[in-house]
Amino acid sequence: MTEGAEIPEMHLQLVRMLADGHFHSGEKLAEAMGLSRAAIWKHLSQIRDRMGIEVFAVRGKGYRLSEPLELFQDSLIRTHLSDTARDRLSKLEIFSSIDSTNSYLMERVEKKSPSGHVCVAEQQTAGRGRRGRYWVSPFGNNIYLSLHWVFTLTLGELSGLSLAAGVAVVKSLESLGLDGIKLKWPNDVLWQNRKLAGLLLEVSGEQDGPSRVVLGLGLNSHMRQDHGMEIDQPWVDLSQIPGGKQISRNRLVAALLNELLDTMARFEAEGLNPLIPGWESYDAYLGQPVVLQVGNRVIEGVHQGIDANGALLLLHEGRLQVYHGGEISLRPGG
Amino acid sequence: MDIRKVKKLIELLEESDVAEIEIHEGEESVRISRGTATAPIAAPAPVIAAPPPPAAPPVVETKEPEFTGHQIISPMVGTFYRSPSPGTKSFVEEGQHINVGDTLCIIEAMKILNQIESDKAGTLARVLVENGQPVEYNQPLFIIE
Repeated sequence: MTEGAEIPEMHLQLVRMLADGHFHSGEKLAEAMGLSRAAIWKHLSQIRDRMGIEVFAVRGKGYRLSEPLELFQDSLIRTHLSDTARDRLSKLEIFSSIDSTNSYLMERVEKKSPSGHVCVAEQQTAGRGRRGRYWVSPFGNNIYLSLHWVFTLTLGELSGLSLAAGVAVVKSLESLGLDGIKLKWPNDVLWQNRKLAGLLLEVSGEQDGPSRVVLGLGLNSHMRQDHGMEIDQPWVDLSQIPGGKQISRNRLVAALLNELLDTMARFEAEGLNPLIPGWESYDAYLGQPVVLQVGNRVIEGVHQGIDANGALLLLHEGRLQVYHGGEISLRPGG
Repeated sequence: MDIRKVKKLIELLEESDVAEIEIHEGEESVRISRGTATAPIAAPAPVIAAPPPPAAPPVVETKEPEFTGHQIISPMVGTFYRSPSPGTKSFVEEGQHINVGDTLCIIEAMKILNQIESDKAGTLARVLVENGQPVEYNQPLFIIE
């Protein structure tokens, strides 16, 4: 079972008081918390260690965070939801820390749970990418979001959902005024060829019964350089993209849910088909020479978009070939 | 037929994905197939016995094996994984008792990880696919007895 691994309320209260990024004297913090100044100092050093937050202490001025934080708030997220998204959201859970939002929903959501159960976390202690890869998930700066949805579609029919979800993420970022966001098959979200967000979908269900989907999204909104060092591929965060720095995290979660919840509801009825032109318009590598790594095999070809199910089309040795898996990248020097 | 020609044919077969070659030259013919236990048959006479292909690549099982138990088949095209993530324990092992709804494997396609559950209770008799291998739609994955 996953554990909430919640951060002590005392620490969260301190972080909330410091979230504005201004100096707060130890004396005032101690008074507000009903603790001694020594206890405040002790708690703040624990916050540094456990939450990875930088807290500056300056003699005569007090404490401040290296950067202001905007923590998630249920009411703020809901304020920015569209009416349809509000109807489709059956439950919203916010965690200060969790092992993995996807693991949480995969394990906790019962077979009969309604669609539209969402959880977001300020921090993941075991954030996951594809097949055991680690998703760097420090506290308070990025988006870690998972969403549960039930489909009556078969597993085969669900494959295109992976791409549909990518389109939803790009659309939500565009709705906040960002440009130049692209998709790399099947659904990596890129800006200038660097990874901004990743999606991971997990599905369970009997072969002929309803399928339960948990969609997980990790989006870098403000990744500190020292945390970014842990990421094993070129990455970018919203703060480096023109117009991205000032986007409110709560508004961002709402914008993502507006598009994702809509996409989920529509996919059941319409499938991927209506989204294919949109997907191809965001395709980072369309028409370009690429390499596809499938296990130990490396296939060179020219990327020709996707088929009706969302599978990758490559022109390889004069023939159009269809691929369902693998890692695509631009051919070096191609 | 010249034995050197036969040898050449065997080499040709080894280098290709072809499982069998049959050549007719006048009244002679030779059929070379690889990886099967049955000796190459040439008909009609005279018989030229082709030497068994040395160190043939791993045999691709083309025959449908006969199973008596319940087959779990792949509902989709993708990559077959026996454990939740690399380095972790397999979901199930041969000989183990399986309940309805137990997760047997994951099939991944396009970054969707599909947990395949058993629709039958019983003993897991066979795992038919190796970890990390591609699977086709309707390909048998497990046998439950």
